[in-house]
Amino acid sequence: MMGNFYFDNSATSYPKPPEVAEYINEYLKGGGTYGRSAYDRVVAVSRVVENTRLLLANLIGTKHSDHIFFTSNSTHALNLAIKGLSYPKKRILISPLEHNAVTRPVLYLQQSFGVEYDILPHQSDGFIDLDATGKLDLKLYDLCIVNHVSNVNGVIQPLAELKALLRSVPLLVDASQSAGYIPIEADSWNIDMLALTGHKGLMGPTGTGCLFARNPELISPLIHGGTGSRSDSFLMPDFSPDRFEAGTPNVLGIYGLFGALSAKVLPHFDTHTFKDLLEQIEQLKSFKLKRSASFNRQAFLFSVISDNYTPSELSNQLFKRFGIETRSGLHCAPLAHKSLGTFPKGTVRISLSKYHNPNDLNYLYTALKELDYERK
Amino acid sequence: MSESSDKCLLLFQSIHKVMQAERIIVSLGIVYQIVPVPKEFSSECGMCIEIDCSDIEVIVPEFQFNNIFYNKVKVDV
Repeated sequence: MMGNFYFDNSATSYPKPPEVAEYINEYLKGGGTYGRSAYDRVVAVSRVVENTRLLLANLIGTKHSDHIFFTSNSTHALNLAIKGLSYPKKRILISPLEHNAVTRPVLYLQQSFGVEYDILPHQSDGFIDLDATGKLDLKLYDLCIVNHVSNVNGVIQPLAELKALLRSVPLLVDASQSAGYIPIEADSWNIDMLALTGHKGLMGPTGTGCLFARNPELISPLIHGGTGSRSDSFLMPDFSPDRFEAGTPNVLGIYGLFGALSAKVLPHFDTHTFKDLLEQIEQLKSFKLKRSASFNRQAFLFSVISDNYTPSELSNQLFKRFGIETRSGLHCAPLAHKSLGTFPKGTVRISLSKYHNPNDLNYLYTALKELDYERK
Repeated sequence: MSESSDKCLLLFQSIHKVMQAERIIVSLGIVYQIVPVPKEFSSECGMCIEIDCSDIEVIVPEFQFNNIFYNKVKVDV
Protein backbone atom coordinates (compact mmCIF):
# COMPACT_ATOMS: atom_id res chain seq x y z
CA MET A 1 0.00 0.00 0.00
CA MET A 2 1.22 3.47 -0.94
CA GLY A 3 2.42 5.55 1.99
CA ASN A 4 1.30 9.01 2.93
CA PHE A 5 4.06 11.34 1.77
CA TYR A 6 2.11 14.57 2.13
CA PHE A 7 4.03 16.59 4.75
CA ASP A 8 2.46 20.00 4.14
CA ASN A 9 -0.35 19.78 6.68
CA SER A 10 0.48 23.19 8.13
CA ALA A 11 -0.59 24.66 4.80
CA THR A 12 -3.71 22.52 4.65
CA SER A 13 -4.43 19.03 5.89
CA TYR A 14 -4.60 15.99 3.67
CA PRO A 15 -6.21 13.51 3.68
CA LYS A 16 -9.46 14.54 5.29
CA PRO A 17 -11.55 12.17 7.39
CA PRO A 18 -14.24 10.52 5.22
CA GLU A 19 -16.91 12.22 7.32
CA VAL A 20 -15.95 15.58 5.77
CA ALA A 21 -17.03 14.53 2.28
CA GLU A 22 -20.04 12.67 3.67
CA TYR A 23 -21.43 15.74 5.42
CA ILE A 24 -20.63 18.05 2.52
CA ASN A 25 -22.45 15.63 0.23
CA GLU A 26 -25.38 15.50 2.66
CA TYR A 27 -25.66 19.27 2.49
CA LEU A 28 -25.38 19.37 -1.30
CA LYS A 29 -28.20 16.86 -1.52
CA GLY A 30 -30.36 18.42 1.19
CA GLY A 31 -29.74 22.14 0.76
CA GLY A 32 -31.17 24.82 3.01
CA THR A 33 -29.80 27.86 4.79
CA TYR A 34 -29.12 28.94 8.36
CA GLY A 35 -32.05 30.56 10.20
CA ARG A 36 -34.30 33.17 8.62
CA SER A 37 -37.18 30.67 8.16
CA ALA A 38 -38.65 27.70 10.03
CA TYR A 39 -39.28 24.96 7.48
CA ASP A 40 -37.64 21.59 8.06
CA ARG A 41 -34.73 22.10 5.68
CA VAL A 42 -33.67 25.28 7.47
CA VAL A 43 -34.12 23.75 10.91
CA ALA A 44 -31.89 20.82 9.92
CA VAL A 45 -29.15 23.14 8.63
CA SER A 46 -29.41 25.39 11.68
CA ARG A 47 -28.96 22.38 13.96
CA VAL A 48 -25.75 21.36 12.20
CA VAL A 49 -24.37 24.91 12.25
CA GLU A 50 -25.10 25.31 15.95
CA ASN A 51 -23.82 21.83 16.82
CA THR A 52 -20.60 22.73 15.01
CA ARG A 53 -20.34 25.89 17.10
CA LEU A 54 -20.80 23.75 20.20
CA LEU A 55 -18.11 21.29 19.11
CA LEU A 56 -15.72 24.20 18.52
CA ALA A 57 -16.47 25.56 22.00
CA ASN A 58 -15.73 22.14 23.50
CA LEU A 59 -12.56 21.85 21.44
CA ILE A 60 -11.10 25.10 22.79
CA GLY A 61 -12.36 24.58 26.32
CA THR A 62 -14.98 27.28 26.72
CA LYS A 63 -18.55 27.15 27.99
CA HIS A 64 -19.44 30.22 25.94
CA SER A 65 -20.47 28.80 22.59
CA ASP A 66 -22.35 32.02 21.78
CA HIS A 67 -19.01 33.81 21.89
CA ILE A 68 -17.76 31.81 18.92
CA PHE A 69 -18.21 33.52 15.55
CA PHE A 70 -17.79 31.68 12.28
CA THR A 71 -15.25 33.18 9.91
CA SER A 72 -13.75 32.08 6.61
CA ASN A 73 -10.36 31.24 8.18
CA SER A 74 -7.91 32.36 10.89
CA THR A 75 -6.83 35.41 8.90
CA HIS A 76 -10.43 36.64 8.81
CA ALA A 77 -10.82 35.92 12.53
CA LEU A 78 -7.57 37.71 13.41
CA ASN A 79 -8.55 40.72 11.31
CA LEU A 80 -11.91 40.85 13.07
CA ALA A 81 -10.23 40.94 16.46
CA ILE A 82 -7.27 43.18 15.61
CA LYS A 83 -9.26 45.76 13.64
CA GLY A 84 -12.31 45.55 15.90
CA LEU A 85 -10.62 46.47 19.17
CA SER A 86 -9.78 49.99 20.33
CA TYR A 87 -6.26 51.09 21.23
CA PRO A 88 -6.28 54.01 23.66
CA LYS A 89 -2.66 53.35 24.66
CA LYS A 90 -1.64 52.88 21.02
CA ARG A 91 0.69 49.98 21.83
CA ILE A 92 0.59 46.23 21.16
CA LEU A 93 2.83 43.33 22.16
CA ILE A 94 3.32 40.48 19.70
CA SER A 95 5.33 37.27 19.81
CA PRO A 96 8.48 36.88 17.70
CA LEU A 97 6.95 34.02 15.69
CA GLU A 98 3.88 35.74 14.26
CA HIS A 99 2.46 34.95 10.83
CA ASN A 100 1.58 37.69 8.37
CA ALA A 101 -2.07 37.11 9.35
CA VAL A 102 -1.09 39.06 12.46
CA THR A 103 1.80 41.25 11.37
CA ARG A 104 0.03 42.72 8.35
CA PRO A 105 -3.08 43.85 10.27
CA VAL A 106 -0.77 45.16 13.01
CA LEU A 107 1.23 47.14 10.44
CA TYR A 108 -2.08 48.40 9.06
CA LEU A 109 -2.92 49.73 12.53
CA GLN A 110 0.50 51.33 12.73
CA GLN A 111 0.21 53.06 9.37
CA SER A 112 -3.44 54.06 9.75
CA PHE A 113 -3.74 54.92 13.43
CA GLY A 114 -0.21 55.18 14.81
CA VAL A 115 -0.52 52.02 16.93
CA GLU A 116 3.03 50.82 17.66
CA TYR A 117 4.10 47.29 18.46
CA ASP A 118 6.84 45.65 20.48
CA ILE A 119 8.07 42.07 20.29
CA LEU A 120 7.92 39.91 23.39
CA PRO A 121 11.28 38.93 24.90
CA HIS A 122 12.20 35.46 23.73
CA GLN A 123 14.75 32.70 23.56
CA SER A 124 16.64 31.70 20.41
CA ASP A 125 13.88 29.31 19.28
CA GLY A 126 11.26 32.04 19.71
CA PHE A 127 9.88 30.66 22.96
CA ILE A 128 8.63 33.56 25.06
CA ASP A 129 10.93 34.51 27.93
CA LEU A 130 8.44 34.73 30.77
CA ASP A 131 10.91 36.13 33.31
CA ALA A 132 11.83 39.00 31.01
CA THR A 133 8.19 39.54 30.06
CA GLY A 134 7.29 39.84 33.73
CA LYS A 135 9.74 42.74 34.03
CA LEU A 136 8.05 44.74 31.26
CA ASP A 137 5.70 47.56 32.12
CA LEU A 138 2.68 45.69 30.79
CA LYS A 139 0.31 48.52 31.71
CA LEU A 140 1.55 50.27 28.57
CA TYR A 141 -0.19 47.80 26.26
CA ASP A 142 -3.71 47.48 24.86
CA LEU A 143 -3.27 43.95 23.57
CA CYS A 144 -0.88 41.01 23.34
CA ILE A 145 -0.97 38.64 20.35
CA VAL A 146 0.66 35.21 20.41
CA ASN A 147 0.92 32.42 17.87
CA HIS A 148 0.18 29.35 19.99
CA VAL A 149 2.23 27.07 17.75
CA SER A 150 4.75 28.52 15.30
CA ASN A 151 4.04 27.58 11.71
CA VAL A 152 7.81 27.56 11.10
CA ASN A 153 9.44 25.57 13.90
CA GLY A 154 6.49 24.21 15.88
CA VAL A 155 7.30 25.89 19.19
CA ILE A 156 4.35 25.75 21.61
CA GLN A 157 3.99 28.98 23.59
CA PRO A 158 3.06 29.04 27.32
CA LEU A 159 -0.34 30.71 27.09
CA ALA A 160 -1.60 30.17 30.63
CA GLU A 161 1.63 31.43 32.20
CA LEU A 162 1.77 34.41 29.86
CA LYS A 163 -1.82 35.40 30.59
CA ALA A 164 -1.11 35.22 34.31
CA LEU A 165 1.57 37.86 33.75
CA LEU A 166 -0.56 39.98 31.41
CA ARG A 167 -3.45 40.14 33.88
CA SER A 168 -5.89 42.71 32.44
CA VAL A 169 -4.05 43.10 29.12
CA PRO A 170 -6.17 41.13 26.62
CA LEU A 171 -4.49 38.11 25.04
CA LEU A 172 -5.33 37.22 21.44
CA VAL A 173 -4.19 33.73 20.44
CA ASP A 174 -3.59 32.54 16.89
CA ALA A 175 -4.43 28.83 17.18
CA SER A 176 -4.11 28.09 13.46
CA GLN A 177 -1.46 25.43 13.97
CA SER A 178 -2.47 24.17 17.40
CA ALA A 179 -6.22 23.56 17.13
CA GLY A 180 -6.80 19.88 16.60
CA TYR A 181 -3.26 18.89 17.56
CA ILE A 182 -2.76 19.98 21.16
CA PRO A 183 -5.18 20.77 24.01
CA ILE A 184 -6.59 24.29 24.34
CA GLU A 185 -8.30 25.44 27.54
CA ALA A 186 -9.58 28.92 26.78
CA ASP A 187 -11.58 29.30 29.99
CA SER A 188 -9.11 27.90 32.49
CA TRP A 189 -6.19 29.71 30.80
CA ASN A 190 -8.28 32.91 30.80
CA ILE A 191 -7.68 33.52 27.08
CA ASP A 192 -9.51 36.63 25.89
CA MET A 193 -9.68 35.91 22.16
CA LEU A 194 -8.68 32.96 19.99
CA ALA A 195 -8.65 32.55 16.21
CA LEU A 196 -8.57 29.21 14.45
CA THR A 197 -9.04 27.73 11.03
CA GLY A 198 -10.95 24.60 10.09
CA HIS A 199 -8.74 23.16 7.38
CA LYS A 200 -5.43 22.50 9.14
CA GLY A 201 -5.29 20.45 12.37
CA LEU A 202 -9.05 20.10 12.51
CA MET A 203 -8.93 18.47 9.05
CA GLY A 204 -12.05 20.21 7.81
CA PRO A 205 -12.56 22.06 4.52
CA THR A 206 -10.97 25.36 3.55
CA GLY A 207 -13.11 28.46 4.02
CA THR A 208 -14.00 27.64 7.63
CA GLY A 209 -12.76 29.10 10.90
CA CYS A 210 -13.85 31.04 13.93
CA LEU A 211 -13.04 33.70 16.46
CA PHE A 212 -13.71 33.19 20.14
CA ALA A 213 -14.07 36.38 22.19
CA ARG A 214 -14.60 36.32 25.94
CA ASN A 215 -15.83 39.92 25.89
CA PRO A 216 -17.42 40.47 22.48
CA GLU A 217 -18.69 43.89 23.51
CA LEU A 218 -15.10 45.13 23.18
CA ILE A 219 -15.01 44.28 19.45
CA SER A 220 -16.66 46.15 16.59
CA PRO A 221 -17.93 44.02 13.71
CA LEU A 222 -15.73 43.83 10.63
CA ILE A 223 -18.66 43.14 8.29
CA HIS A 224 -22.14 44.64 8.50
CA GLY A 225 -25.31 43.27 6.94
CA GLY A 226 -28.25 40.96 7.37
CA THR A 227 -28.28 38.47 10.22
CA GLY A 228 -31.87 37.20 10.19
CA SER A 229 -32.36 38.82 13.59
CA ARG A 230 -33.54 42.32 14.64
CA SER A 231 -34.37 42.92 11.01
CA ASP A 232 -36.40 46.00 11.91
CA SER A 233 -33.17 47.77 12.87
CA PHE A 234 -30.67 49.41 10.53
CA LEU A 235 -27.97 48.64 13.09
CA MET A 236 -26.20 45.38 13.78
CA PRO A 237 -27.62 43.34 16.69
CA ASP A 238 -25.85 43.94 19.99
CA PHE A 239 -25.78 40.24 20.89
CA SER A 240 -23.52 37.38 19.89
CA PRO A 241 -22.98 35.53 17.68
CA ASP A 242 -25.26 37.50 15.33
CA ARG A 243 -23.33 40.76 15.76
CA PHE A 244 -20.33 39.21 14.01
CA GLU A 245 -22.01 36.98 11.44
CA ALA A 246 -23.61 39.21 8.80
CA GLY A 247 -24.50 37.43 5.59
CA THR A 248 -25.28 33.79 4.88
CA PRO A 249 -22.57 31.67 6.50
CA ASN A 250 -20.47 29.09 4.66
CA VAL A 251 -22.96 26.33 5.38
CA LEU A 252 -21.30 23.90 2.97
CA GLY A 253 -17.96 24.34 4.71
CA ILE A 254 -19.49 24.19 8.18
CA TYR A 255 -21.09 20.84 7.29
CA GLY A 256 -17.65 19.56 6.31
CA LEU A 257 -16.16 20.96 9.51
CA PHE A 258 -18.89 19.23 11.50
CA GLY A 259 -17.87 15.98 9.82
CA ALA A 260 -14.23 16.59 10.67
CA LEU A 261 -14.96 17.41 14.32
CA SER A 262 -17.23 14.38 14.62
CA ALA A 263 -14.56 12.05 13.23
CA LYS A 264 -12.28 12.30 16.30
CA VAL A 265 -9.21 10.98 14.49
CA LEU A 266 -6.39 9.84 16.79
CA PRO A 267 -2.72 10.13 15.76
CA HIS A 268 -1.44 7.03 13.95
CA PHE A 269 2.04 7.59 15.43
CA ASP A 270 3.17 8.28 18.98
CA THR A 271 5.34 11.05 20.37
CA HIS A 272 8.27 8.67 20.85
CA THR A 273 8.30 7.91 17.13
CA PHE A 274 8.18 11.63 16.36
CA LYS A 275 10.99 12.34 18.83
CA ASP A 276 13.06 9.56 17.26
CA LEU A 277 12.55 11.15 13.85
CA LEU A 278 13.82 14.53 15.05
CA GLU A 279 16.83 12.95 16.73
CA GLN A 280 17.65 10.92 13.62
CA ILE A 281 17.49 13.97 11.37
CA GLU A 282 19.72 15.86 13.78
CA GLN A 283 22.41 13.22 13.17
CA LEU A 284 22.50 14.03 9.46
CA LYS A 285 25.51 16.29 9.04
CA SER A 286 24.30 18.44 6.15
CA PHE A 287 20.94 19.29 7.72
CA LYS A 288 20.05 21.64 10.53
CA LEU A 289 16.73 21.40 12.31
CA LYS A 290 14.71 24.43 13.23
CA ARG A 291 12.60 23.19 16.13
CA SER A 292 11.83 23.91 19.74
CA ALA A 293 14.80 23.76 22.11
CA SER A 294 12.69 21.47 24.29
CA PHE A 295 10.75 18.49 22.97
CA ASN A 296 8.12 19.14 25.65
CA ARG A 297 7.06 22.25 23.79
CA GLN A 298 7.33 20.90 20.25
CA ALA A 299 4.27 20.47 18.05
CA PHE A 300 4.14 18.10 15.08
CA LEU A 301 5.84 20.44 12.62
CA PHE A 302 9.41 21.59 12.19
CA SER A 303 11.76 23.02 9.59
CA VAL A 304 15.04 21.90 8.07
CA ILE A 305 17.77 23.76 6.25
CA SER A 306 20.48 22.13 4.19
CA ASP A 307 24.15 22.93 3.59
CA ASN A 308 23.80 21.69 0.03
CA TYR A 309 20.44 22.84 -1.20
CA THR A 310 18.45 26.03 -1.00
CA PRO A 311 15.03 25.47 0.59
CA SER A 312 13.32 25.46 -2.79
CA GLU A 313 15.91 23.02 -4.21
CA LEU A 314 15.54 20.71 -1.23
CA SER A 315 11.75 20.79 -1.41
CA ASN A 316 11.97 20.04 -5.13
CA GLN A 317 14.40 17.14 -4.58
CA LEU A 318 12.11 15.63 -1.95
CA PHE A 319 9.16 15.79 -4.31
CA LYS A 320 10.79 14.81 -7.61
CA ARG A 321 12.80 11.92 -6.23
CA PHE A 322 10.72 10.70 -3.31
CA GLY A 323 7.21 12.04 -3.85
CA ILE A 324 7.40 13.91 -0.55
CA GLU A 325 5.38 17.14 -0.48
CA THR A 326 6.70 19.97 1.71
CA ARG A 327 6.65 23.76 1.68
CA SER A 328 9.78 25.84 1.24
CA GLY A 329 10.45 29.52 1.77
CA LEU A 330 9.15 31.94 4.37
CA HIS A 331 5.75 30.38 5.07
CA CYS A 332 4.09 33.84 5.19
CA ALA A 333 6.01 34.43 8.42
CA PRO A 334 8.95 36.78 7.70
CA LEU A 335 8.99 37.98 11.32
CA ALA A 336 9.36 34.38 12.53
CA HIS A 337 12.20 33.71 10.09
CA LYS A 338 13.94 36.92 11.14
CA SER A 339 13.61 35.85 14.77
CA LEU A 340 15.03 32.41 13.96
CA GLY A 341 17.84 33.67 11.69
CA THR A 342 16.49 32.03 8.54
CA PHE A 343 15.40 35.18 6.71
CA PRO A 344 15.30 35.73 3.72
CA LYS A 345 15.89 32.24 2.29
CA GLY A 346 13.59 30.49 4.72
CA THR A 347 13.44 26.77 5.36
CA VAL A 348 11.77 23.57 4.25
CA ARG A 349 8.85 22.92 6.55
CA ILE A 350 7.72 19.41 7.39
CA SER A 351 4.29 19.21 8.98
CA LEU A 352 2.64 15.99 10.00
CA SER A 353 -0.90 14.68 9.87
CA LYS A 354 -2.59 12.46 12.42
CA TYR A 355 -2.86 9.98 9.56
CA HIS A 356 0.92 9.55 9.22
CA ASN A 357 2.17 6.23 10.55
CA PRO A 358 5.69 5.26 11.68
CA ASN A 359 6.48 3.88 8.22
CA ASP A 360 5.70 7.27 6.66
CA LEU A 361 8.04 9.00 9.12
CA ASN A 362 10.74 6.44 8.42
CA TYR A 363 10.33 7.02 4.68
CA LEU A 364 10.83 10.74 5.22
CA TYR A 365 13.98 10.09 7.24
CA THR A 366 15.32 7.67 4.61
CA ALA A 367 14.85 10.31 1.90
CA LEU A 368 16.68 12.96 3.92
CA LYS A 369 19.42 10.47 4.71
CA GLU A 370 19.91 9.72 1.03
CA LEU A 371 20.15 13.43 0.24
CA ASP A 372 22.61 13.80 3.11
CA TYR A 373 24.88 11.07 1.67
CA GLU A 374 25.04 12.99 -1.59
CA ARG A 375 26.25 16.16 0.09
CA LYS A 376 28.89 18.10 -1.73
CA MET B 1 -60.04 23.34 26.40
CA SER B 2 -57.97 22.21 29.36
CA GLU B 3 -55.00 24.25 30.60
CA SER B 4 -52.62 21.38 29.82
CA SER B 5 -53.37 21.48 26.10
CA ASP B 6 -52.81 25.23 25.74
CA LYS B 7 -49.91 26.00 23.46
CA CYS B 8 -47.18 28.51 24.20
CA LEU B 9 -44.57 29.98 21.91
CA LEU B 10 -41.05 30.55 23.19
CA LEU B 11 -39.30 33.38 21.35
CA PHE B 12 -35.52 33.86 21.40
CA GLN B 13 -33.21 36.58 20.15
CA SER B 14 -31.15 34.36 17.86
CA ILE B 15 -31.05 31.03 16.07
CA HIS B 16 -28.18 30.11 18.37
CA LYS B 17 -30.52 30.38 21.35
CA VAL B 18 -33.34 28.52 19.57
CA MET B 19 -31.03 25.58 18.97
CA GLN B 20 -29.62 25.71 22.48
CA ALA B 21 -33.17 25.70 23.84
CA GLU B 22 -34.13 22.83 21.55
CA ARG B 23 -31.27 20.69 22.88
CA ILE B 24 -32.52 21.26 26.43
CA ILE B 25 -36.14 20.53 25.55
CA VAL B 26 -35.12 17.31 23.80
CA SER B 27 -33.04 16.26 26.80
CA LEU B 28 -36.08 16.77 29.03
CA GLY B 29 -38.23 14.61 26.78
CA ILE B 30 -40.75 17.38 26.18
CA VAL B 31 -42.88 17.38 23.03
CA TYR B 32 -42.27 20.49 20.92
CA GLN B 33 -42.16 21.79 17.41
CA ILE B 34 -40.20 24.51 15.72
CA VAL B 35 -42.49 27.00 13.98
CA PRO B 36 -42.15 30.39 12.28
CA VAL B 37 -42.30 33.43 14.52
CA PRO B 38 -45.77 34.96 13.99
CA LYS B 39 -45.43 38.39 12.45
CA GLU B 40 -47.48 40.03 15.18
CA PHE B 41 -44.73 39.22 17.66
CA SER B 42 -41.68 40.04 15.62
CA SER B 43 -40.49 41.36 12.29
CA GLU B 44 -38.31 38.28 12.07
CA CYS B 45 -38.49 35.61 9.46
CA GLY B 46 -36.92 33.18 11.90
CA MET B 47 -38.07 30.35 14.12
CA CYS B 48 -39.44 29.84 17.60
CA ILE B 49 -40.47 26.84 19.69
CA GLU B 50 -44.04 25.74 20.43
CA ILE B 51 -44.70 23.60 23.51
CA ASP B 52 -47.57 22.80 25.87
CA CYS B 53 -47.82 25.67 28.34
CA SER B 54 -47.90 23.13 31.15
CA ASP B 55 -44.29 22.16 30.35
CA ILE B 56 -42.96 25.68 30.99
CA GLU B 57 -42.28 25.11 34.67
CA VAL B 58 -40.05 22.14 33.86
CA ILE B 59 -38.09 24.11 31.31
CA VAL B 60 -37.60 27.39 33.17
CA PRO B 61 -34.94 26.20 35.67
CA GLU B 62 -32.90 24.66 32.85
CA PHE B 63 -33.11 27.82 30.76
CA GLN B 64 -32.10 29.94 33.74
CA PHE B 65 -29.15 27.66 34.47
CA ASN B 66 -27.98 28.00 30.85
CA ASN B 67 -28.60 31.77 30.62
CA ILE B 68 -31.25 31.36 27.94
CA PHE B 69 -33.59 34.33 27.87
CA TYR B 70 -36.91 34.07 26.09
CA ASN B 71 -40.31 35.60 25.71
CA LYS B 72 -43.37 33.43 26.24
CA VAL B 73 -46.54 33.99 24.25
CA LYS B 74 -49.74 32.01 24.70
CA VAL B 75 -51.23 30.93 21.42
CA ASP B 76 -54.85 31.83 20.85
CA VAL B 77 -56.73 28.83 19.48
